[in-house]
Order: sequence, then C-alpha cells, then structure tokens
Amino acid sequence: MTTMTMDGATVTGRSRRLSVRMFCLVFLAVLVAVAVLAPLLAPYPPEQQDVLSANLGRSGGHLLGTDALGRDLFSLIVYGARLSLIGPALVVAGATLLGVTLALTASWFGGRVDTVISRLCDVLMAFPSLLLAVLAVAVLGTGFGAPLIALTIAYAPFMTRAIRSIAIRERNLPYIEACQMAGFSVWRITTRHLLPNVRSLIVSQGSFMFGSAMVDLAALSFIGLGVQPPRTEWGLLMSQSRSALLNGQPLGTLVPGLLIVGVVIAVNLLGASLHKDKS
Amino acid sequence: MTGQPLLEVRDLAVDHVDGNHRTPILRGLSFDLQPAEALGIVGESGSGKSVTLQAIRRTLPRALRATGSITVDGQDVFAMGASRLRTWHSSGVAMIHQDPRAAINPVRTIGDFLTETLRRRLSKNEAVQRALKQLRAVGIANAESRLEQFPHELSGGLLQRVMIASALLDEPDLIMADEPTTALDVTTQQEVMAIIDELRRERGMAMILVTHDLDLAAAVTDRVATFYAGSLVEMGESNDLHRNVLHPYTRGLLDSRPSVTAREELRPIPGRPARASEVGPGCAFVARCPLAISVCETHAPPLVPESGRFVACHRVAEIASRPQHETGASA
Amino acid sequence: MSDHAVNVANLRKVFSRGGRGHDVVAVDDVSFSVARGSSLAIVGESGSGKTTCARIIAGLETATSGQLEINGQAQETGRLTHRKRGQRARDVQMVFQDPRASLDPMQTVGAALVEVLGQQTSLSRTERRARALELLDQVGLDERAAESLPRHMSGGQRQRVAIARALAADTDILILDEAVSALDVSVQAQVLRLLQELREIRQLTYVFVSHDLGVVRQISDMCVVMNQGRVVETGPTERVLDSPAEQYTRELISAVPGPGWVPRRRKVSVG
Repeated sequence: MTTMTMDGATVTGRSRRLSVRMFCLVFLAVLVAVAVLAPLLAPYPPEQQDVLSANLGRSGGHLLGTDALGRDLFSLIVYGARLSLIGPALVVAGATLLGVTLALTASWFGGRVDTVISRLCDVLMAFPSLLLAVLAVAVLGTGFGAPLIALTIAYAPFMTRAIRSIAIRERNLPYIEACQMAGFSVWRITTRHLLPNVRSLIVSQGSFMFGSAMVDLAALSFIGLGVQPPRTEWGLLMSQSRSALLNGQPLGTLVPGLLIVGVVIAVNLLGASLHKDKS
Repeated sequence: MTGQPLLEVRDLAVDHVDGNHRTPILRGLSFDLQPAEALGIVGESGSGKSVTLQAIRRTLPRALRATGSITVDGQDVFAMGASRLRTWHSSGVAMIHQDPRAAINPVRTIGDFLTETLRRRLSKNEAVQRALKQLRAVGIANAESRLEQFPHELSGGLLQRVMIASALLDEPDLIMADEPTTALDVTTQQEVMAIIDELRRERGMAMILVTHDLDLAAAVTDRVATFYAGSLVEMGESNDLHRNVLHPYTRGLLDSRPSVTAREELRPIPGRPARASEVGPGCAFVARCPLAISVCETHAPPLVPESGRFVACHRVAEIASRPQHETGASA
Repeated sequence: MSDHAVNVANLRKVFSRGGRGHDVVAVDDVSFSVARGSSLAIVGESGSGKTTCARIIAGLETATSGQLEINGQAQETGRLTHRKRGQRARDVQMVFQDPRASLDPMQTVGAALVEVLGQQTSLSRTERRARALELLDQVGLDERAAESLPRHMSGGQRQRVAIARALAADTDILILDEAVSALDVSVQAQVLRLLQELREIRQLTYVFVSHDLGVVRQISDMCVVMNQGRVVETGPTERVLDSPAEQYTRELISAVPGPGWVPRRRKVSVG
C-alpha cells in the first residue's frame, strides 16, 4: 500500500529521482569499471613515451591524441581514473570513520566531552583544507599519502558536525533509554541502535564529501604537490597539458576536467536523491 | 431551526491525490451550523475530524483535494477569491490550534502578535487597547506586561489563552478549535474551556470543536457529531448524549473510557480505529461492531433520524427500542 | 519494609541550571512504598515531578538525595555503573509513553525482543526466538508482528510490543510512564485490560505514572498525588478519589470531564 505523505514526497517525484539515481549510478559504475579494467582498455602503457609523436591531435593510433612527451592521452586518462577515484574514496572512508566516531562519542557523553570535541572541530574547520594539505606535504613530502592524511583530518569535522545534532536527537529518544533499561552496553547501543538511525545522513554527507575531496586532490596534483609522475591522475594530467592547450590541443586539459566535473555532479545528485528519500 | 444557517456543508469529501492515485480521507459529509451554535466533532485517529476543519477553511495541504460544497453566510467558500478568503480568515472565522507554539512566531512579542492584523485598520493605540481588553477577558492579569513578553516566556496554558484572545479580537462569527486543550493539564483545560465557552456564548459566536474527548465535547457544545473512518456516524443534542446514545461506535467510545467515579470492568472496542481508505463497501465500523449483521458488510447505512438524533446504522431502530444498558452487548 | 517491592524515602531531585537561572526542585522530599504484587499510581499534572520519580526508580535519573530500596535492597541513586545498570534491569523495567519513539525504528519487533532476551537471559538462539513469539502472544500479537517494523504498526500494537519487551527481562516490577496516554480511547481500554490481566497472571508490581484519573482508578490499588514536586496525598485509590482529603486532589477530580460535568472558571485570574 502506498504510504500517504503530505509533504511533497509524491510517487511521481520518487520515480523521477529513481531515474536520475540510475543514470548517475551507471555513469559512475562505468568509470569504476574503466579504472579497474585499465590494463585491458588502454591501447598503450601510460608511461610509454614517443617524442616523435608528441602533441598529435586525434589520429588513427591515438584516440585523443598525445601529450608533449608523446604519451597516449586516452591511456593516460584511463589509468588516471584509478588514483582519481580511489583518492577521494579513501578520504571519505577515513573522514567518515573519524568523524562519526567523534560525533557519536560527543552525543553519547554530552557535557564536557561534547564541548571538547565541538571546539576541536571548530578549530580544524577554521583551516582551509587545501592549506592543511599543503602543510602536510611540506612535512611528509609529496605523493599520494600526505594529501590523503591531511584531507581526512580536514574533512572529519564536517562529518562530525553533520552527524552530531541528529545523533543527539536520537540519543535522547526513549528507545535508546529502553536499550539502557535492557542493560545493553554503550558499544552495543551506539553501533546497533544509534548508528543505523543516522546511517542515511552519513551516506548523503559522504557523497557530498566525495566531490569536494576529488576536487581538492585534483587541485593538489595540479599544483604539483600531490600525485607525482610517472603515476597519472586527472588533476596532474590537466597540469601537464597546459602548454598543449596554448598550442591548440585542448583535449588533455578538457577531457580530465570534464570527467572530474561529471563525477562530482553525479555523486552530488546521488547523495541529494538519497537524502530526499529518507526525509 | 429558523433562519439561514451560518455554515452549510454538503457532501464534503477529501482525498489524498498522488498522480492518478486517490486515497479517501473524508467521505461525503453534510451538516448545517446555525449562528451562535456550537458543534462538537469527536473521533479517534483516522476519523477525518481535523481534516474537516481544514477543508472548511480551505487550508488543506497541497496533496489533499476537497470536493462538495461549503457555504458560509450564503457565500461559496470554494469559489472565494484569494483576498476574500483572506478577509474571511482574519475576521470571519478564527482558528485555535492544538499547539499554540506552532502558530505563534517565537521571535516576536505577544503584543506584536495580537496587534499585527489590527494595525491595518486601527491606530496603534486603538489596537493595543483592544488587545489588552481581550487579554483581560481571557483572565490574564498584568496584561500590559504580557504584551512585551515573548512566547517562550509563557506556559502552555497561558499561551493558549493568548491564542484565544487573538481568535476573539476581530469578533468572528465562527470559531474553529482543533483539540485546543489536549496538550494542557486537566485543570488548565477546565479553565481554558470555560473561558472559550463563556466568551463564545457572551458574544454569540458559533463554534466547531474537534476533540477526542466525548465528555468534553458534550459539556461545551449544543450538538455532538461522532466521526469514524472518515464518516459521520451519529449526531445529536449534547445533553441527550449520555442518556440516548444510539450508534454502536459512540456507545463503544463511551464504554471504553475508564471511569473516575467507579472501578468497572473495562469494555474496549476490539481492533483499532480504521482510516477511510481501509473501509469496504459496507458500514465503516463493521469490522469492530458487536452488532454487525450481513447487510452491514455490503451496504453503507444512510444517516437517518431516530429518536431525535441522526444515526448511520442499519439496526438503529432496534437499538432505539431497547433499554439503554443492553446496547453494548452483542446481539 | 522488606516485603515492599519498591520503597522510596525522602527522595529529592534538583536540576541545577548553573548560572542560567534558578535551580528547579523537581522532586521534594517524596516518600512512598509499593507493596509486592500491588499497583501504585503516581498522579499529577505537568511539573509535578511524577515522571522524575519514576525515572529515578528506573535508574534513568539520579537523585540529589534520598533512599531507594528495591525488593528490600538499598539501591544506588547516583550515576549507575554498567554492572549496576544491568542489575537494575533485572529488577525493574519501564514502559514509555510515546509508542512511536520507544522502539528502534530500524529494528523489527522480533529482533528487538530477541536482543533483550540475549542480554537478560541465558537462552539459546532457538529458545530466544521461541520465547519472543511467546511474549508477543502474551500481549495479544501474532507471529507476523515479529517480522514487522514499528512504523507499520498502530500505536496500540507498538505499546503491546513495549510491554512485551519489558516482560522479556523477566522482572516483577514494571514502571509505566503514561503508558496509555498517547493511545486512542478505544485502544487505551484494550491495553489497560491487557495490563490488568498480565499483573494477575504474572504477579507483577506496577508503578503507574499518569495524569488521567480515570486510568488511575482502573489500574491502581494505591495512589500518590503529587504537585510541584511534593506529595499532596497518599492512600488507597478508591478512598483518595471518593473522599479526597486535600484541596488540590479535589480540584483535580472536579476538572475531569464526565456526564453532567461543566467547566468552571477559577475565581482568581491568572497573573
């Protein structure tokens, strides 16, 4: 039997959301498949240089042309998908783990614990995430690892903020007290009862976080502080193709850029549609 | 009843509309309300009682659609233009909600709230004087200092009195009250209902009181209507209610109230209150009725007059001829 | 004193507001006893302290001072350690007011009962499952309820589940905090009758918090009337309601709608 809701979450709205959601999922799934199957899909090894074929436009052997070092752009982009997608995923996973733990702890104990955690979050959120990442790179060196750690720490407070108020609301509801009356441990109550009831918010926050992380990581690689050659990543590719852009070969900048935008939009739409369904 | 009714409702029905899917909430309601008359609408969850008020006032949420006709003072409510409707809302009909805090802006003072609409027509001083007069009429002393206070500084009972004061400000012809005292303590409830009752009679205003409390309705109204699953099942004089209740549902409601005066065996109605969408072709109450017979499953009983009341029950004549205390037992 | 299920003496609870206002004395020198197998109602309006008292007995609230005895044993009235809380769970269980908020929305009814049984009993998994179905049956719900989520059940059904959950811990003492107030009138009577039957069958002791005098009359043998944190009157329910000794009790009784009742304004206006 259809549920009667009087707040606009109609059946027709829902089916529209489902098709948007389907489209985004398919798009992302294709990209993930491409990343996983990179060795099978890329016609050339990405690091293979051929100076004689440098800066070619689209041609028989090269679907998207070559870059300044003669590397096949299509292969670079396909392989670049790996780090470009995995990076934000790791940041979201880490920030979620850290952020949710802090939020649940703050909401459960309240009082001074909550105050300390909230102030800690305030301080962390005052730093722009990129600045923290640059600092981390300065301390730990360039590469993939330092930005990941820095962004995880920078993003965790946002998750904490989002989850904390809902967690506080749920924690004060009678069903949590009933769990206490039943003698359940704090661990059991938090993981088996509190967490499932904030799960949908975590998922939607996580999806928004993915987009930001993707852009931040790409930006870091763009300015040379993130992924280093010979590894490839979309942000790095955009940077490496800057001179080609000035020479009339935009594909090396355009395609990775569009892919980044596409992924961010798809993930945000996905998150928004999940959020609307649960409300 | 002489004279033209203040309110005429004919075949009012409300459905929840979602694309092509229609779910009934209120089914075919018709009644009249005379000027200065008070009607109580009593029902449980799913009865459609609150939706009735919203439908009459044309304040239904977007997903709900009303059909039928509603006439106020000879005017068709559904045909009213936006500004006429607004005028009616501000000076023709007043609404008292269950939760006063939901209906008052928390960041404005009580004084602002009360004088806001008045200031369009009156000077500030006149508006304030009127507001003060109403506050005193509802039994609030220190009315001047209350004007400066914010809603959160007042208790629930006090705030509800302020709501009543605001409802009376423009001297409406009709008051609609949707569970106005349900959230209040019983002693505050008595006070607030007494105020509503007294002021209403004094000023000759009509009232529709929606409540789940049959005794409360009977105490402050002229007539009581019982709703079940979106239908009107019984209507009659309030002072006749306890002696002469006829419909098995109303009887069941009276019987299932735990009495304060004596410990008796509880006689609940089995099952749970149904919604209009769950009702089959027959009587809405058939699944829970101790007197149900086969015709009750297939044919919805019409509302017929019996012993001075209006009752929708196939066996009403039989029930009326029996002595009172037997009507609760199964046939 | 040791044959009392619950004994409360000089209980006091002060909610301190720090610098933000006056401290609120929610419970002020409250004492009463509940005989084993009997049913005591704590009656009052909002702000009377009745719920706070009940929560202190349940261990969900600490007391500022005073003594609490359950089954003859002195109990901790401060913050409970995990172990103490487990012990309290074996002594006392609670049924809450709001059927919508007192069940985990993400958990099926059967799973909820099985979880409590897992914590409070040493039954095997199959035994727990069987016992859960038994409990549901005792509260008048059938097997299908076990697979249902709370949001697909009516208010009355959810309260029955809440009662079943309280019984799962196998305690003798049940605290019911306005347990029928949020239910429709016709359903309220069903649940009250169920509670009466259960008390007889299982020899339970009830502490029933309510503002509704009709409910109090039907469900309790003794009652304690509270107003603004203090005990106004105590005694057998019948006596208190038929011949109240205190003015406040009389006011409460006269405010209840019934046949022939008419609301009366107080002479003194509210300042």
